[in-house]
Formats: sequence, structure tokens, C-alpha cells
Amino acid sequence: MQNMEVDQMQRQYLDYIKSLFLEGFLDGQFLQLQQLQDENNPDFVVEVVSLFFEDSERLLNDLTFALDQKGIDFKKVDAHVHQLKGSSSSIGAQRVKNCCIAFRNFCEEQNIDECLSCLQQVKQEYCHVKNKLETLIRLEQQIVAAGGSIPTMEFSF
Amino acid sequence: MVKLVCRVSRTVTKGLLMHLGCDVTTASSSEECLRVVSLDHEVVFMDVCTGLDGSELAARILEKFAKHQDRPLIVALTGNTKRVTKENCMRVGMDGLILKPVSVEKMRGVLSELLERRVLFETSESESRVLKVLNSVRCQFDVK
Repeated sequence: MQNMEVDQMQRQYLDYIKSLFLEGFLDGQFLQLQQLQDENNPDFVVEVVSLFFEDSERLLNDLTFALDQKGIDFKKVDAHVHQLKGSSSSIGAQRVKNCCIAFRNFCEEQNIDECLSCLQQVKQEYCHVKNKLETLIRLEQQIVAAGGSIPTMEFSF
Repeated sequence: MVKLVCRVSRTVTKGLLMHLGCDVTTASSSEECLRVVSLDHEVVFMDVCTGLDGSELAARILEKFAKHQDRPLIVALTGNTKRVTKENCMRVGMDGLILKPVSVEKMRGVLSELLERRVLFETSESESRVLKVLNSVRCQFDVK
């Protein structure tokens, strides 16, 4: 009975993570992170994802503040977006990364309206990927708690 | 040694190198990197945007070890595929440049090549394509 439950959870996990790739929330870099998790570093993915959440929230606050100023310092805005692009790229948060690429272009053009629009978009994408990753981690923890191992996904698409 | 300003990138790169069996020291700033780097470090990986932004740190590392027979290799980690970035890095005396993203397999190959040849400047895909075309044109002229 327990094995059937674990099997079901593992299938659910694989279906879920596959959907995240198909919908573009994650890219291959996330699989690289999972590859780095081993007995010497058993919580690596959770650790990195948590750092990503902390840093992203700080950067999004900084961006909101910077774009709310009368005289916008676009270099500062660009620096924040560059950091967010770097961290999202490092964990494979593809949609957030792509938003940042567009955002940086508008910073270069000093286009306030488009920058504000990009900020909303990147906040939205961050919220989406945060929810998805939290769900994914919860599924992993349920599998481990039930005595199973986290299945690995082959990235072939 | 890994000097990356971005905390997430720094943690991932550290994890990657440790997974490959390396002992890793991290630094979040140029000042910290310069203070901590020693002959125990075989390679210093540093984040670079244009190449020029890493020049001061590279110069100061070279200066720190100028009187020694050996020194850590200095390698830029960048997502910038522009040829000028590579040229800037070479000009300031760096030993290599690697394009992000870096997979486990890629880093394994990079470390192997770096420690053997003491130099590695990765070519971007677009640069490879241009070089292939130039070589093919050159060959045509040679044949003629």
C-alpha cells in the first residue's frame, strides 16, 4: 500500500515538474541544480531556491522604490534588473529571466512606461514561479516523508 | 575561489565546484577576494560583464603574486558573448573566459583543460560560426 502511495506521489511529481518545463517556468538549469544535490549537500535545491526568493523580493522592492522616484536613476534600475536576471538564470527561472532581458532593454532606452510595465510583469512571473517551486518542494518533501526517493527527470524537450 | 556578487549565482557555482570535488572559497566583493586569495587557490572564477569591470581585480591579483613563481589562474564567468568582452579579458591578463550557463559536464571539462593548458578562452556559438565561415573562405583562396 505504501509503495503504491509513493509511486503515485512520484508520478504526480514527475507530471508536475514536466509541466513546469513545458510551460516555460523552468529551464534546464534547474535540472543542473538537482544534479548538484547529493549526500554531501542534501538540501542544496531548497537552499538555493530560498536564496532566490529572498534576493528576488529584496530586488523587486528596490526596483519599485527606484522607479517611484521623481528623477529615475536608470543605471541603478538596470543594476537591480541585472542582478535579478543573474539569480533567476542561475536557478533556471526562465520566464523571470526573459522578463529581465526585456526590462534591461527598456532601461537602456530610459523608457519609463515600458519599465513600469516590465516591473509589473516580472513581479507577476516571480509570483507564479515562487508558487510553482513551493509546490514542487512540497511534493518532494511528501515523497521523502513517505520513504520514497525523488525521481529524476530526463530533459529531452 | 569564486568571486560572484550575486548570492544565488555564487551558491550555485560553489555547489557545482564542490560536486566536482573542489575545495571552494567564496567572496562577494573584489575587496574580499583580494584579501582572501592565496596560493592555495588554483583558480579564481570572477563575474564579469564587459571584461573591463574585472580588470582592476585581475590586475591587483597579478600584482599580489608578481614576486611568486606561481599564482592562481584568473577566469572570467560571463553571460556576455560579445567578442569585445573576451578581448578585454585577454588584454587585462586573465587566463580564461567561460560563458554561462555552466553545466556540471562543462565545468568538468573546463577545469581539466584549464589545469592542463593554463589557459581557456571559450568561443561563443556565433563567434564559432563566423570563424568557420572565415576558415572556409580562407581555404578556398588557398586552393586557388
